[in-house]
Amino acid sequence: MNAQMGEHSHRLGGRGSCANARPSAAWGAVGSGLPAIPCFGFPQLVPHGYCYLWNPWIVWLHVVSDSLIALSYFCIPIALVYFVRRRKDLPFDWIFLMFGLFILGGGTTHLMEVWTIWRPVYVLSGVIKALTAAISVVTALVLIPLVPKALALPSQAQISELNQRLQGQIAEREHAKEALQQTLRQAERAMSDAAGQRILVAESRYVEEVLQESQDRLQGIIDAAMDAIITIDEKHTIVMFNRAAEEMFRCSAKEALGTQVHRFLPVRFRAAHSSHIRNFADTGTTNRAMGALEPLCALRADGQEFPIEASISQVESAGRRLFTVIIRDISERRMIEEQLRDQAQILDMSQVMLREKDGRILLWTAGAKKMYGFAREEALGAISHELLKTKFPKTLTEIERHLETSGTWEGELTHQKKDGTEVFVAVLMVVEQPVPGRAPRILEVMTDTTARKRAEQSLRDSQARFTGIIESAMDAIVAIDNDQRIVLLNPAAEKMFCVTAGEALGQRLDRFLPERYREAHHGHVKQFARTGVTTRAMATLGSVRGLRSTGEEFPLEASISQLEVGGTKLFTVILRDISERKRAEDEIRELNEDLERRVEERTAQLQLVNRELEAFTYSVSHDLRAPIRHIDGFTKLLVEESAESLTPEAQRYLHRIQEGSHRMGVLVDELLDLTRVGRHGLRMEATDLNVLVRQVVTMLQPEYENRKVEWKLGELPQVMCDSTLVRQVFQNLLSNALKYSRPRPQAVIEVGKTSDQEQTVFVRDNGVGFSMKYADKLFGVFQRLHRVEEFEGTGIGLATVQRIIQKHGGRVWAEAELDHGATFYFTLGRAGGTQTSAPAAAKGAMA
Amino acid sequence: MNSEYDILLVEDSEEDRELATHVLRKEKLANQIFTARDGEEALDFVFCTGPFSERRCDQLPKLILLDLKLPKVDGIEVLRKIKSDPRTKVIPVVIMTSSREERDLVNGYHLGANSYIQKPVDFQQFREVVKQVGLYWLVTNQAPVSEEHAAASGA
Repeated sequence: MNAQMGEHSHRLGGRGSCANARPSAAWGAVGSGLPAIPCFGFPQLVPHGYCYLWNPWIVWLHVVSDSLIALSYFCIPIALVYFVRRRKDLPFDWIFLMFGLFILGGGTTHLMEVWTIWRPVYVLSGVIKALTAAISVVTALVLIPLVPKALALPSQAQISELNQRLQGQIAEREHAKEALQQTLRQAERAMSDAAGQRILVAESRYVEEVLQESQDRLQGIIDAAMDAIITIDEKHTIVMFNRAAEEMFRCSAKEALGTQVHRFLPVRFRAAHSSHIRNFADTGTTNRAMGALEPLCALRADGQEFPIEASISQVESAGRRLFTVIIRDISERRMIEEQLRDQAQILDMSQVMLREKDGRILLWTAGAKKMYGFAREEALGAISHELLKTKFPKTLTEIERHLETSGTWEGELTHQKKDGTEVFVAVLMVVEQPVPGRAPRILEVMTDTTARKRAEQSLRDSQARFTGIIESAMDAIVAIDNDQRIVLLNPAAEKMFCVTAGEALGQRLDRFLPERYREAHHGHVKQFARTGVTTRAMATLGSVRGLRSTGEEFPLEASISQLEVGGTKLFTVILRDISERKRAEDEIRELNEDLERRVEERTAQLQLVNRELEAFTYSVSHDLRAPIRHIDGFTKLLVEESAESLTPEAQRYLHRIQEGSHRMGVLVDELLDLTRVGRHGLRMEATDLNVLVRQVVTMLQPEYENRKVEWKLGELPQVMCDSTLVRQVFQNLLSNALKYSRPRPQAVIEVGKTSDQEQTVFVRDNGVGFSMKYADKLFGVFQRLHRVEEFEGTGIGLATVQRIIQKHGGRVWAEAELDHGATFYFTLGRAGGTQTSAPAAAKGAMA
Repeated sequence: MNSEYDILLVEDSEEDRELATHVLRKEKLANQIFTARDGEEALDFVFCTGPFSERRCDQLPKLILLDLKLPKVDGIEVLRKIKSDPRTKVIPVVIMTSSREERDLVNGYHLGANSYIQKPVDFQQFREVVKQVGLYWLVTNQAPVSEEHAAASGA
């Protein structure tokens, strides 16, 4: 196009030179008859019409042609300018503008051609041509280097060709589809129309080819898809199954095609799925995401279920409805989501907060809530160290500076919980990785160390306590290491060995042992270490001796214990200086020996006394009775055999002698009874006191044969006692009761027990009684409250009663009033005398 | 056989000997009473030793009344010897003593005494007791004819 233009310009110039030589006669004939005017001082120049000889046909041919050219040329730049302005992306837009100018120039020269037919303004025309030439040359020069660049751009032709091809493909596909449908219809027809078979085969072959081509292309796209694409027909039979689907469902397309799509659905979804597809078909919507109602799941051929995301589209073609489902396996995404959720939960459980640099809390986990008691809504937005009343180990500014420089800060501080209690917290602060457009935030991980702190504190306390105990112990405490070198020595040990801890530490323990013991001691400690026994007394009492730094030896008692501290064995020896104790023990032993000797002596004396007493009672019973019997015997013989030769006076004397000897016999017998109580042990047996009392009452019958006696015998208990002795008690008491009630016309004698717990037995009479002022003499041996003329007696009976009762561990006492009877009470010790047997027997043995 | 003694009375007290003998004679309970004054004499008499070595030893007393408290050899020892010898153990031995000691009583029975009597202080009672003992052992009770005795008489 440019070349054409250049050529044209050249021709114009050539025509200009011709014009100079030609008259402009024809001009007037053709024009409006305007007079020729000189132009730019060349009056001899004639209008160009002259060159045409004013031939009107030529003139008008030029005029019309040039005018049309000029008009056209003027239109082109306008279009170009509009084009350039509208197409901002246009490359090299300035060249279009230059074209515009160049064409404008061309247009103007043509206009000037018209004008110069009538007016010889060749100078002006030339100038304009020159300008146009300049622009043309520049444009040409600029254009040349642009050509290769411009060639690189796709040409309009290429684009349109591409477009055309695309259109072609679309048309072809449509055509193929049409052809397919047609073919199908034909095929249907062909089933009944064998005549058309030959044509059909030819046609279908063609159609197949077209179709195959189109399908191949489509298949390429479908197979390259990342998502599984499955097309099913109205009967849910799979008609298309892409490669991604094969992988996803682990089922080859060959196997899948023609089968029901249900096989890829978990059983529980199948029914719902059918109805969903039916509904979708009814709506007529072409495309829709699936699974609005619930998370979707699919089933792999191997039975594994997995979560999916799916969309469905429907196409109706040739009266057949096809559903295409695009499926994406989201197991991995689910897994990642779950991981993220887990991580979030873990984070939430841990005691973490996220805060701005100024302390404003942005994240407050459940863990933090549990630790401090502040709910999320209370914590969020609060300033962390104000909320938790933080006590920092150093100033906040220092911590912040540390955070800024190193990015982390780790330390221990004190927080206050919502309930006001203080917690010790180990905190790790981490500054967040910088994110553009946001000030870095700080993550704080808190660990409650209160329990640990407390444990540490209690450990310190207990250490202090132990130290206190060791320091204040009365015993010497020495700890030694495996080499038996002293590592600890308490004040008591310093005192015991007369050294200071400073001198002793690091020395061997055996410096505190007399030399002769040292070697054996080493062996003992080593032996002890091997046993693994934790504590043991050392040697036997008195055989261990210590050595003071003064050289003095002393006896000591020691125990040793071992424990492992930090991998090294430590022996602790506790020592006690027993010099004093030894001395005291010796003294006690001497005293004991002396005491024993004295006890032996005393026992021997007592035994002698006992033997003498026995001999005495034996002789009383044996030797004293014989003379009495002799006196009585011979007196009787004298009275019997020589009565007639005796005076009445002599007979009375003999009677007196007999009475005396009788009394003497009774006295001796009663004395023997009394001593026998003391000399014999108790023979305890279960005894019915009622039986004893009845026996005694019967036995005493001769004493009250001719008297009126009323016996009131109450119910008595069953007791453990020596029945022989207790019978003696009743015998003496009842005998007394009979004796002292003799003056009464009717004696009333009552035996019973009181209602107290001690089972006190009483014997009551209505006799003469006695004055209570002599009550203390009642139970004394040979003590009598009545004269013998009034009431016979020896004064031994009640003494015997008391002795028997006391021997049973019981008590006896009396209540009486002169002339108003007497009551004697006795008990046989607790629980009827059962518990009294032992001490009573012992007492008996001593007597 | 006039020398046969019905009763051997072992009693150191002359008074007691006289009283007992008086009662036994009065009641006609014994023709011959030999009285020994101590344990030694009693044993010599029973075993025909010492002063009684000439005595015929097949002549055993029908009853021995034995006091316990005796000079030289005491009554318990006499009892043991008599009761431990097969020849003499059949002789009824009645302990008659003033002792009221239970120890003596128990010992006596353990050693084979046939009876134990405490001499009452009252003479009337004493008389009754001696009479009953004599009657019982010499009249009422059937004495065994011991084999040793028979053998001894045969010899």
